[in-house]
Amino acid sequence: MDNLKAITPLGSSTPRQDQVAGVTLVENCDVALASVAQRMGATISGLDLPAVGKSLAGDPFSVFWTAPGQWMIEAPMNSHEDIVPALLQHLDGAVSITEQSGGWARFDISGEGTIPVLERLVMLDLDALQPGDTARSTLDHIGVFLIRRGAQKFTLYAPRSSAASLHHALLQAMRAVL
Amino acid sequence: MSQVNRLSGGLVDRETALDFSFDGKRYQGVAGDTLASALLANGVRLMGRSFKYHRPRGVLSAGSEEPNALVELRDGARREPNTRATCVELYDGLLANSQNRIGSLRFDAMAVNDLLSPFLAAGFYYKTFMWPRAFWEKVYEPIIRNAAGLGRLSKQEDPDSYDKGFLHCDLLIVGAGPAGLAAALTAGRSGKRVILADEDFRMGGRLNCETFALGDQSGADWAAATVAELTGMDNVRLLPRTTVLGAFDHGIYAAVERVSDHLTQPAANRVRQTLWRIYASRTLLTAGATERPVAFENNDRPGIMLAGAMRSYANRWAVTPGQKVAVFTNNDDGLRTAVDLAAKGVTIAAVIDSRKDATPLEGFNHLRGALVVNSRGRLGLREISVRLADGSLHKIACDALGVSGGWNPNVQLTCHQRGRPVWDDTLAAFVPGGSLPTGMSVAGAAMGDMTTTGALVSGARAAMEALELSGSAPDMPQAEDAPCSPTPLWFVSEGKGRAWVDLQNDVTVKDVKLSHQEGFVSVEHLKRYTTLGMATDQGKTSNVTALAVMAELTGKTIPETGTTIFRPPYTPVAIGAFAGRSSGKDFRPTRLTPSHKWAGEQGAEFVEVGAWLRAQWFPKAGESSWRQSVDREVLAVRKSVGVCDVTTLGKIDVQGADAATFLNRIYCNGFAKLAVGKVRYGLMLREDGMAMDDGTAARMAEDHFVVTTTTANAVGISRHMEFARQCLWPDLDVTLISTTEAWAQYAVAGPNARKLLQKIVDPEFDISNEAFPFMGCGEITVCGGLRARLFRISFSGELAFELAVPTQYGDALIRRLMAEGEEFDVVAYGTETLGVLRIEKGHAAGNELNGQTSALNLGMGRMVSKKKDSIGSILSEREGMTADRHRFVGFKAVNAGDAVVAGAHLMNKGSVENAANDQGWVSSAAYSPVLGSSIGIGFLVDGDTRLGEIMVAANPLEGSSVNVEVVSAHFVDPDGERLRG
Repeated sequence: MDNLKAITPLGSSTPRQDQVAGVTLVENCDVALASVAQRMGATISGLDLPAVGKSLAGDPFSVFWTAPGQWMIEAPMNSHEDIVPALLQHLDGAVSITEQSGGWARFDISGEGTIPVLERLVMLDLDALQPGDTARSTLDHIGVFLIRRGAQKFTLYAPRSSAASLHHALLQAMRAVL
Repeated sequence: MSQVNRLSGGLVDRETALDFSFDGKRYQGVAGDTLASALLANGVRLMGRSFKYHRPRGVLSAGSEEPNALVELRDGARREPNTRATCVELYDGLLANSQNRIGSLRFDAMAVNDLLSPFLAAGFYYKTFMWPRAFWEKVYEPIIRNAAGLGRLSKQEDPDSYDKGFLHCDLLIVGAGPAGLAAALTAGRSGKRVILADEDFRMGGRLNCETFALGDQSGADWAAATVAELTGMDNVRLLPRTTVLGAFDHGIYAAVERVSDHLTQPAANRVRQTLWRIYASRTLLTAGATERPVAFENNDRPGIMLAGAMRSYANRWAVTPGQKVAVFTNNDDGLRTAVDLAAKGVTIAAVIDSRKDATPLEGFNHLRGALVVNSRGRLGLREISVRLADGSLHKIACDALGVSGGWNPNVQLTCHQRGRPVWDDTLAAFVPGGSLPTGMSVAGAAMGDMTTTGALVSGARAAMEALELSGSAPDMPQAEDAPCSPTPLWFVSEGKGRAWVDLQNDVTVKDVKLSHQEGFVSVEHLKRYTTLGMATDQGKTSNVTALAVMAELTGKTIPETGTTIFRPPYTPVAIGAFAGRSSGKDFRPTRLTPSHKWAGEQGAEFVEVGAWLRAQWFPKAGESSWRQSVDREVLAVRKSVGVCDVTTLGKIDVQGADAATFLNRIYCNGFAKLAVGKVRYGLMLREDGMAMDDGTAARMAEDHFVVTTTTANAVGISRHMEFARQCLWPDLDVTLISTTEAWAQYAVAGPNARKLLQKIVDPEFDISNEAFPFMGCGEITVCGGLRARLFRISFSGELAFELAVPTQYGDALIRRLMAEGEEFDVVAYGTETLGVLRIEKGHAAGNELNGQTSALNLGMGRMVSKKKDSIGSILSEREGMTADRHRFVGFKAVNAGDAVVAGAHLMNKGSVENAANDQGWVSSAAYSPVLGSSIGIGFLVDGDTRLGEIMVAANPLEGSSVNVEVVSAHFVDPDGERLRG
């Protein structure tokens, strides 16, 4: 549609991928994001919204909880880049929808050794998080959303402007531990 | 020198020889040695000089309580002073030097202090260096610091890195001696998450140092087998080489893991140490006990050490500190030293036992009811004087003396939340008591269970209780269970010489007496007057002895005398471990703007604005100063068009049926009637009526606004609005979310701004002045369909727009704008030019909205709407604020060459430059290339009625006061024709 070319949060035309021993760190740019907040007294239908601290994977929309009455919706970037109209069509009920695709950098970290890396960076009790659980925390002073996707698989969302600092912190920890 | 003092047996690996050097001399040790054990093995007793008197000193202990054997470890940037030789794990190539000496260790020139000791008693410098006062900082202090130093810092950057980390567990066990291992086994087998931390590199504590059997195994073998079982448990995390250094709030502990200190240097990418923050549901302190010496005259000579440490060296490291050894004890435990060393073939010269009624030790020269009263030997012990029970004085030749005055439970961590230990008469020691840190319990010797059986049983039981496990604890092996009941003996009063209490800070029994004599009786005064317990060892081997001396002097009991407070850290910690990764350029993370990459390619200078790195200016070839670049950028904007990244301004998405009502209460001016498609400037006041922040709110739909804040206040305003939403007006239907990062936003400013934008805005959107007038806003598309937002707002005073696209397109957009703008000679401008433009236009920014100014001061008093209520509206009317006559005006240098300086204070011409004559201040200043003059804006008493007056902008600090003319703050286009054009 448009003729401007997007770049990744780390400033490249292609997403960055790093591998140290068994752990892979991927800059994931394939996701369109929008925040959804419940208006006063409204019930939202059309999408299952997870409970506090939880996420729900779906097609095309996956959802993770972010705050009381507030969620973040993920959808494939190539099919749902203009995510707000798509969601408006999909959701019923009084709802505030805000495009957030450009606001967040997503990093997926996975593989054997992921937890020893993360436990040097986030204060959360990672063992207590089940796959699907999500939490807000800080990593190297940067506010992040953390979602446990599997036993050795996590997603981190950080403000896009801090992507380079976050990536540096993650990579440094991977090299120090693995 | 060969290892003359190496014995047989031990837990060392003789096959692995390790070379090391001390004070330039080469020695050999074996794997498993500490620096202290390796030096003793080589017959080196003299390891350091004391802090104040430069007395020759050797090793006292075999653990982290060591006050004497402090060395400078390693060299170059890695040189670390005050390292305890007893805690340094020997590695091949280790390099250590003694410290706090002038000349060699054997002939330290500063030893003259020892001869001057009558003048250097406790508190001497309080009395001696009182006058002349000016001498203290310049003369006395440097001399004292030089003389009474410890090791030297490298003064180079630390080449190593440090990690921090976070651990969680059901049970944290501090100390892996018999009690800790029994507890870990119990807890580990239950499946609970357990962390077992020990400062030693070999777990087992005293089990590795004694000859007791546990069942049919040696103590060391049982410890090794237990550690092996624990290693196999997924739910147990073993942290050897890790000191738990503090107990903090809510069951949080800090621990430092020495990851690479036992290596020559850390492996590539590896850290030297990791500082762990441990969140523990429950904590079990099994930190054991520390033996205490008995003070007697000249009890500080190299070769005199704790009796238990002597056993550690013999049994664990297969080292004897001397060939002819004596023991001085007040308890049965001390006797074991004689037995163990004799079993290894060491000659025991005598066992001096203060107890008359002690059971005779067969086969030894057991002198019951005797006291060691003095010692001889300049650089190491040669002889002791013993007062026998019959009153006769007896001299005994020996080169090492083991002293045992009983054991003090390691209660330190129980006191970190101000818990006070309680006195146990049987042990003659303090044991944990009172209120312990949340979730903490104590077992083993740390609780006063001084036998191996007691430690095993209490450790297992404490783990059961802490974790509320049912059933019975695992069976523990049979072990020794001899009671430990010392007959208290703190110091030997015979003799006129000095009997040392605190070896690290050179505090003697006499010093304690002097403190008492001069009225410093309270333990806190005693501590500060004598510096007792204030050295890096925190008095682990001296505090209780000093209390006992003071108790005797005051005729009180020891518990009545009191204890000082223990504080973290338990042992010294490298500052680097506290800093972790936060050093140098990584001190804090940065935030990069969407145009950062492009700006970097242009050679932009960046400036820190909070965490953001913003382009400050864009130098071009041939420009030699920043002013040239900024002047060019300013003139280009005023003449044609410029582009500036303004993404950093806060953006808050406000939605909901009551969004307009909400903003009407947040801003002091009206917002309820703002039409869709319009933007309005808004001022927010604090609750106390002072100006807080300014910005704009754009109404995108009936129930949708986008609010902007200043860069500096983006987070604070977001928090403020959330507070108002959640706490002040929970009845309003409004939702808030930050979108600062979601949109890359560029100001496009200058007479040609519209022409430039028309080249990229898709043709179906009319941005002519008629269709898109000043303060208009709308959702549009650019560059063939990309969703975008356009705001017609101006900070520069020019015809200007702010264009926002999803952030991932920010880089492409700046490139497109600059390419399409070539025909207009477009410039990119940075924060300096932004500042000049807004000062020329008289727009307030951070310097004016500094929390000390009101709407009235800012010339916006009438903006505070009285037709509605809003935060700060009422209090902005209070007398204290309305009486303030400072008003926002501009200043222009009278002489074009003079510089107006921000921060200068305004004085009437001819008046003395002082605070009494202060008329106001210049808050922002710049050189205006448009006016060809230095200009400023600021606050002047009755400024709005003083236009044309000549005043002095006083800058006495730099001696540059200049004449300025008071003018309107709107230097450029005061009628606002340009921005409406």
